[in-house]
Amino acid sequence: MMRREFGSREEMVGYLKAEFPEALVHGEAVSETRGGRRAARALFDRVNPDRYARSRNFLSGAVTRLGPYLRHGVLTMGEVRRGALGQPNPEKLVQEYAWRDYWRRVYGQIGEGVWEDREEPKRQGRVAQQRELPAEVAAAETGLACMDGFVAELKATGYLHNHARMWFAAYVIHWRRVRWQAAAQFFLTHLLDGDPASNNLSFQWVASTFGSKPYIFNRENLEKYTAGEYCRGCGRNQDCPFGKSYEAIDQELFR
Amino acid sequence: MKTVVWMHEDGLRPLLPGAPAIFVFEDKGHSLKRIVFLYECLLELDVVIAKGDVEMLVRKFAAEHGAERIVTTFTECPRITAQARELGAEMVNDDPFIAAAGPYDLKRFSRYWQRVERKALQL
Repeated sequence: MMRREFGSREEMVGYLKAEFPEALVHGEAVSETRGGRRAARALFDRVNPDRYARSRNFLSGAVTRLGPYLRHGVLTMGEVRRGALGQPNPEKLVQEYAWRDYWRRVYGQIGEGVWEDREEPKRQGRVAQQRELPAEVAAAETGLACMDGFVAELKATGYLHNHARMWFAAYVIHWRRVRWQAAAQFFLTHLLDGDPASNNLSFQWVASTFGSKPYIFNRENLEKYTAGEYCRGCGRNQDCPFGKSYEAIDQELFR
Repeated sequence: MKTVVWMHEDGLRPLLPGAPAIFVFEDKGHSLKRIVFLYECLLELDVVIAKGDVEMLVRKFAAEHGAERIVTTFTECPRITAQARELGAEMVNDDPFIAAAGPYDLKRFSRYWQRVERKALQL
């Protein structure tokens, strides 16, 4: 039986490091996000579906942060759906909850098949795809302030805003020509809400193996939704791979 | 009939108040961050926390409590589903997103949403 009594969080973390030494290969960071229903309910009580609908694409937007608690069943899908419906303008938030439910249902149908392409990619890339995540991407050393910032945040906190997840996935899959599975595994390891259903199938949506076209973005889009936070101090401002129109990027990546 | 709960990482909530419950950590390649998160969830629950072989430890736990029935939270995870089958555990879908009707066409989200939207937006 494992211990249940600790004097402090620090003491508990020390105990878990000793009990799970194999986990330390992924780093020793511990998230500020607390586990448990008390923490979940505190976030749940602050959910504002109307503000969510208007601001969710912005990194500073009123997103719920309920992912880890839903992922691990601390809160139920029924509970959060009913919570949203008790408030004004719940449609968008309920639809986003429905995405999670949808991914789970697909997972129930295909099981470990979430690791395989659901469909052929819609636009073939220019070169064969790499099987491993490039070391400098995983080490946050690409020189791209956005991507390095996302990786550092992910590793330190176990969290990334959904839009950042999409940008990172698109960068790795389409710009770096990495098979989506490698990046999906990286996310699964570090995200507190990492779940083969939502995670892998969303990567497949970006890759277009579970969707009708590949997801791409450009600098203007990233800059807008991050309020320029990353671009301002970026050392690769002059050779930003995203600093083009969608048409030019499409040509470059999929011609 | 005496019942015990097998709690797994897709259902960290009370399932059957009053019934003894056990959670078993197995090596899933989790980061320390995730293990700490899971542990904090478990410490708020009335559950015995163990580490090792799930099937062996859950069976032993059930035997110690003289239980003939094991229940667990429903999940789509194929590994947990297979373990539940091995244990003869009953899976309970206690509070789904929407009451099950279906099967649904899952080819694209839009098709699924079209079918469930009305129900999902009703209290």
